[in-house]
Amino acid sequence: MASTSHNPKILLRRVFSLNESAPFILCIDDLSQAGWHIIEEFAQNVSQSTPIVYVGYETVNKPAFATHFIEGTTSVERLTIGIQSYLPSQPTTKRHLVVIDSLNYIPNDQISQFISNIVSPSVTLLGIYHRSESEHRPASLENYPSSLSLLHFMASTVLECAPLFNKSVDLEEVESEIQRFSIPRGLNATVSKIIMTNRRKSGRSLVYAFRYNSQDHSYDQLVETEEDQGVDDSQVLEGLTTFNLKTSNKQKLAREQVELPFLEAQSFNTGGAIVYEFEKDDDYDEEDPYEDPF
Amino acid sequence: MSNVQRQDLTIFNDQSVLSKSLFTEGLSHLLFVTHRLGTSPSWLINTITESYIYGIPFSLNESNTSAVNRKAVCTKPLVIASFIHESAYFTSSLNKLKIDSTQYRILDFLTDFALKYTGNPKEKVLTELINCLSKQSGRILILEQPELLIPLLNITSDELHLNFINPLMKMFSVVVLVSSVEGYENTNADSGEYQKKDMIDMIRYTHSCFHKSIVLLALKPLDTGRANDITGTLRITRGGASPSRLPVHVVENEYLFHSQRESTKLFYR
Repeated sequence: MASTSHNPKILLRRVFSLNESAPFILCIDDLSQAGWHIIEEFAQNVSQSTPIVYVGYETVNKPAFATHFIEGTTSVERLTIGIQSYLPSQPTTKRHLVVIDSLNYIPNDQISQFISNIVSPSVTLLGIYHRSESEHRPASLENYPSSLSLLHFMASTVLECAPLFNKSVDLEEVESEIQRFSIPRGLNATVSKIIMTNRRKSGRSLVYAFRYNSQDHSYDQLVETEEDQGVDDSQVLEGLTTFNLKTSNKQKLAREQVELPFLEAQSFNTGGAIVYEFEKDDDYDEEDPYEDPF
Repeated sequence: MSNVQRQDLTIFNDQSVLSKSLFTEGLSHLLFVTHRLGTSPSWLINTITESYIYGIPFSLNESNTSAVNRKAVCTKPLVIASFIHESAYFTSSLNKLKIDSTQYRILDFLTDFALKYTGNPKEKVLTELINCLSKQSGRILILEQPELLIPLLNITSDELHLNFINPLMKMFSVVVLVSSVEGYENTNADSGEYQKKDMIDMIRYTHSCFHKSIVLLALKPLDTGRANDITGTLRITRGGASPSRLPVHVVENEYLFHSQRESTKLFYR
């Protein structure tokens, strides 16, 4: 029987309430679905006594749930000192949550150092990263991984925000609109999709998708149906030519029953053996040990 | 379009352009206006100005044009600061709309900007601009194209946001940022495509504005080309900021608009 942590909904709830061991939780969002509701979901689920330190790069309003508010700054050293002043110097049993409303402001060459300075057994760091935002890469760090790759590597849980589209929506058109900074209507809605990647201690990653409603704080697992996984051949070929390219069910059955040539030859189960049959002209000497053909 | 019914502009679900709840003490909200070539945002700036001063955009909303009693409802002035237009550009259009000039202040950051600030350290220039705006003691700021400071002062988008726009957001209850998104696209960061520093900064600037904003007002010309009776479209969509501190929400909508000599009309799309 699977343990409770293998129930995706329970696992997500445990992540939101900081009951899962996750020192660094990365929330990836973009222009089509902002990640603020993920932060608010954490604030909703963590215990009341958990101190929340909020680092605001993209807001100057102290959120109602935040215990301490720090304004974002260009100096990473100053920011680290500011955050650490609200955190316990020694590991404690009480958990602390540090929220950064955009990790995009931390330079690429300082981001790994910054995160390792903040996280500890009693401190969980929740950081938002805007996926499609370009970043400055110094020429000397040309082959250094991007911030997103580094964060992905360091995070114990990754929550990706994405909009939930109807099947009728042309995704290419939506993408092209966003590329021109023209946000289509219906995005950044209260109902969205969360893709959670949870890394177990063994190194195994569990990936689940959820339909998330930020208004009633409900989340249901999204299971890909067969229709989503592959489109039937007949639908692809329909209306493509004036020829009949479809196969009927009868034809499909007949095709499955055809025995391919040489299939018997590829069966190696029977094995091989030398079979000697004695003939009357054979000169067989029982006493000669080298004569034994068997 | 003469037979099509004109529509009133509403941004929030309390049927307002600027909801009163935006002006809660201690909170600040950002509205982001983007425009492209051929769709000047001046009529939208006028509409926001009217909405703040009189509570209603008289010149745009047909249902309010009959209202004769124009009484200012604001307690503090509105501030308009522009990096691409001089004061006369705004005063002439606001005077045509008969808006009480005591209710607004216009700051011209275009004229002689280079002469005034050449040789000064960038931090000092930003501080001076902030001081200049804070002296107006306004409640709402309309800031036109501050992204021009990126090349002018050779600063990054992050520096502009953290050292200029964030301090202004602390000073004003509402900041309306008006920016042009012409000339660059939101290229996918993972595409591996080479991007110049200027381009990266412009993309980062627009991204940050979006994630800070409560609502996005995007003006753009028609995709199909030009038309005699339509200038472009105005799309109102939710921004990337959390609306949890606001009792109202954004009503997403798309309008067609037609700007003539001195008036603009809205139609549903």
